[in-house]
Amino acid sequence: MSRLARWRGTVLTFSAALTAALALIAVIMLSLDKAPLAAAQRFIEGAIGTPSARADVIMAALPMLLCAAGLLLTFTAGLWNIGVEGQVTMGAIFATIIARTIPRDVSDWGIFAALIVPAELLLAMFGGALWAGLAALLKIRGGINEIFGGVALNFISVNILLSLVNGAWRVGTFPQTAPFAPAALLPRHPELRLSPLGIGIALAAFVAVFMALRGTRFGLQLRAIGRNARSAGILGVRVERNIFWAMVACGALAGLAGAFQALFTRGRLLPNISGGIGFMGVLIVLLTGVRAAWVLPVALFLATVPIGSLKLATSLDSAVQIDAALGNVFQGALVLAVLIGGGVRARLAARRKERSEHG
Amino acid sequence: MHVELQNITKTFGSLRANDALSLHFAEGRIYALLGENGAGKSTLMKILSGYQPPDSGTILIDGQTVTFQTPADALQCGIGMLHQDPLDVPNLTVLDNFMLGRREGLLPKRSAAREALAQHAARLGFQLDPFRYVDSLTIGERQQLEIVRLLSLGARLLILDEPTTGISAEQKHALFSALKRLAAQEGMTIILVSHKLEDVAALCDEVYVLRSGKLVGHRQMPTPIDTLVTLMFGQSLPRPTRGAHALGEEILRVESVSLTARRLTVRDLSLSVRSGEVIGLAGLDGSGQSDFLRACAGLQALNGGRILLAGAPIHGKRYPELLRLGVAYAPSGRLEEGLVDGLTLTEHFALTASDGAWINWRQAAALAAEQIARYNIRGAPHSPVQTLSGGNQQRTLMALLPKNLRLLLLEDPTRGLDVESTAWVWQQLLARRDQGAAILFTSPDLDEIVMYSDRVLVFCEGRATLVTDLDDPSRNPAERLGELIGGKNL
Amino acid sequence: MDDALVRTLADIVKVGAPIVLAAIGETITERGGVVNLSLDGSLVLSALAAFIAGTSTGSVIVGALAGIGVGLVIALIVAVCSIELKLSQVAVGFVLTLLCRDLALFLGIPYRNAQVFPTTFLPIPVLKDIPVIGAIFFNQDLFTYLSFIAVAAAWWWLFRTKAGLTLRAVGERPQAAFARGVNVNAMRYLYTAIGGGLVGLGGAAYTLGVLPTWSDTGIVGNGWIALAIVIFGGWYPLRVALGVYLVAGLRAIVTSAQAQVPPQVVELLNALPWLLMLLTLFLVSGPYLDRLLKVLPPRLHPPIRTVLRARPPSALGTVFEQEGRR
Repeated sequence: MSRLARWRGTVLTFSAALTAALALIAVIMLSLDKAPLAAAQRFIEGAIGTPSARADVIMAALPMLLCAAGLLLTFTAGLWNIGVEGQVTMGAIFATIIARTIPRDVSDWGIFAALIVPAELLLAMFGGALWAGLAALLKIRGGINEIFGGVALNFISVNILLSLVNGAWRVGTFPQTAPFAPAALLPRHPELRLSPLGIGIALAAFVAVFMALRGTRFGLQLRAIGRNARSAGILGVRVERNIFWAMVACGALAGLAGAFQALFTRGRLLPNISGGIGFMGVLIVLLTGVRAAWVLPVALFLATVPIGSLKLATSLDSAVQIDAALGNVFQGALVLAVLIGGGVRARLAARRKERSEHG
Repeated sequence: MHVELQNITKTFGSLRANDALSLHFAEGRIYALLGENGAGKSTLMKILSGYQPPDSGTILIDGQTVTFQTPADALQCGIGMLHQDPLDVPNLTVLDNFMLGRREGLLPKRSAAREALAQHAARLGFQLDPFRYVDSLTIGERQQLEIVRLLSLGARLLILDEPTTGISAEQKHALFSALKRLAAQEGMTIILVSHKLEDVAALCDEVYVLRSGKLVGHRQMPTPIDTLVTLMFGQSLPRPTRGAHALGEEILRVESVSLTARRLTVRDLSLSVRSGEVIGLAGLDGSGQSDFLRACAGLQALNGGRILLAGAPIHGKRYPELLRLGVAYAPSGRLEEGLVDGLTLTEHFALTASDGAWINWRQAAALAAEQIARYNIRGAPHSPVQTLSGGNQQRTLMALLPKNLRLLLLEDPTRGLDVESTAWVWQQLLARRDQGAAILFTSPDLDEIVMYSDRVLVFCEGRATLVTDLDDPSRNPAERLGELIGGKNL
Repeated sequence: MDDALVRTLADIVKVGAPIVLAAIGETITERGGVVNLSLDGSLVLSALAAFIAGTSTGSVIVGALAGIGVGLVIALIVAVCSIELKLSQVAVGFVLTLLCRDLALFLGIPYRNAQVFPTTFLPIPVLKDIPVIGAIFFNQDLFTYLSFIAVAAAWWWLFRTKAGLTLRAVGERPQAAFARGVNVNAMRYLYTAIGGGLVGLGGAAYTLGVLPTWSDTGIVGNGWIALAIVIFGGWYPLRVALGVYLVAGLRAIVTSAQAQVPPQVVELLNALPWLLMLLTLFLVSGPYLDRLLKVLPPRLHPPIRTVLRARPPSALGTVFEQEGRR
């Protein structure tokens, strides 16, 4: 099938799925006596209407983008890294190790003040990579399916997090750390609520993954493994080693996302710091059919949902006021519709092929 | 029960597996279905036993036309098939497997089933422990279970697909007595699909021979084995005179190697191969030659003995490392085990080129184009490999082999290629040979083996016989090999 | 036996009932070769459905049926996507688990902590007075009894009936089942539906039994635990149930320790069930079990395998295609 035809098919499927998901949301809203069209308008306004909203969307997209980029590597290799949520959490925890020790006044730190954030980010990457490496080893050495291992490690990471914010790292009556000092946070733009450094890092990571998949031996090997691990082995690829490093790389990026959550989005460490970011990454990759080029726009698109939903939730107009959770429903419905749409398309294409062979 | 097949045809893509075959089977007789690999025996029997529908043709039982949707239908009509790898459920017990599929009510009466199992087994002279798990049984025992099950469900015609590979001599004796008894005393029809000429001679009354999808012979036994061999393998060409070429140092040494693979054990195999030698591994599917080849590639574990590459044992080395040491293995299952579907030709070449971290796509595409031209592959550098025809995929596999190789291990290298392509591939292989590589290859085509091998290792039931006197003018080499393959003179 | 201990055991069995139902349901589904990863979301959504139906009609039966219905439909979506559309069971299940959870959280907003469903406590007259056993097994609510029945029924069905044997064959080697005249895909649909229905019943057990009010926090996450316990229990109903009670027991211990132990330690203790499962699977999945079996005489294999084996049904997650046929 020609490239253009394929592209057209993808757009068609996506549009159909989008329509279906929106229709579902509209039906739900109507049943609750809300006005879908007005809500849609308010949503769009709220998500991308003002500069501050746009900044919010961009910053919300960054952690998701990081996770999705990392997951591109593991999905390409045919792995289901469900443990990405735990890797985000561990990244946040590890970043906090440094962040919580930074005092308010660092004016006499001189050059070292500039090293704080890089150190936190590197440590966060290490934490996420460690957690992912653990899941990989459980799979490779112990034959433990990576989904089971991932889920188990997700829960364990939450336990570790809760233990820390309830005990050793708690400040005050609530289970959380103190807000981090400004020097520990991701440097922020003076007016808008966004972090150019953060954007730069996320984009760089995404581009790195993109290029790795396209242009490096590692990326090609992952693709071969994902398609047919046996043949890949025969062609000389070291399957287990590559799987391990794909997981570790994904964990590092997820850890970075966790650092962003702790050092920007929330400004401290508290329960549910991962906020479903990891799973969002999975959804993004599923939506794009593991195609790297689409990840950036899809991440931005999905990032508008929580921002816009929040505006709807806090609206004073009762005709459009609706809980932000509906936004999550929309995301899930969209991905499901895209998956089903893809499946239907494939089946129709197979039927057409059969008929032409036998007709 | 009289069974007749009329004009059965089955085509897979461009391959005509069964070409208007007409056979009939009377009751109380034991038939053999002989033929090389790819002759169409398995396909025909799968059609007869309900696993596949024919494209055209009819099946008649006692004069009535029948069509089967599933194997269970066929069994209800009395036709049952024992597969080479019996279709049982390994993770269940013998008794469970026996009971599965029986037409009973909701609650199986285990004790009744146990008795039935014991009864039918005794009738055939078998002994089966109902509580053992099937995956702990030997192949012979699994066969016995399946035969007992089919009989208990009323099979009147029993098809056995290569039943004697991998079972002990006692089990074979027990099986044959049971089959004879079933045919003579109970009027059952038995069809033995096999290449073991001695077994056929010992057991069967009539023989059908297939070649390339067609029926080429129908004989009553006894018939001289030579006749059967000629029918199976065709008139063999005389071996062309071969130029002498220099042989180098010993590159591969196999010392008393034993290995166990799926169905059988290869025992005590020793071989010494020098650079520039071409060794053909002959034998029919499942006789051990493919497993031996894989062992030389580090893909199959050894039970005993060792394999040395240029003096160093390969034990413990994984295939990617051997690849770096100059050993290359090309399996016959192209898409399953050698090519990655979804990747283009360029990507395959990029994968096997051993440069640094970054891929120079232009270089890779140029290399792909070069190889496509050299190997005459009908495809473009950006074609996904699964869109190529089988023959072109084979050429791609060959083209992906690294440049300077010391040892080439090829599983059926010219499978699916036409005559011209075959000749050309061998031209390439012999060129490598002239550069000093040693080649071990398997092939079901005796002509190919005879034409290109310096020496031949014939595999039969895990034992290998080395044949070195192919140039002896007094014997037709292909016939000699055919006999060895069939198990004679072992 | 100590009164407090008996009461604790009774509590464990009661609290574990919904997870037992869900895990048994998933065991059945997976025995047929289908993975229903939507378990967690399905559990929550069916819990909500059961709550709404139950409180609006005042009937437990209606509530339970609503829960069962929701669980059934969700599971069937996974089955249809896998069998008809050849989509990955894991992908569809994963998306569904998030979607159903979010749907439940959203639709449940008006019902938060609103009502309490009347109790379904059903002590059985004579049996409940038997010391120890009576208090644990016969002094419970409706859903706990249903969970016992589910375990027993699943065990009996899988290992004592012909249909159960067929199911096991379908999950292990569909080609062999097909050769024996079994309609593989029909079986998969049927048992995925049954399994999903049980999951739905488990959801109903939460909102109509264990915590008879609608609150999402008590339920989310337990579906994942159920999935893990299916693996940990080796796909054997009795072992799965024991696994659930083990985890519930560990949790109970941790809860009771809350008084004496600082919260950060409690949280770490909460990680114990997972660590335990990982460790056990690591030792059992690997080559160690095979080595053990080689050493022991064949007579001991069946019981050892039943107790220790943790290999999934061999055809789990695969698509069944008939060869040579359109």
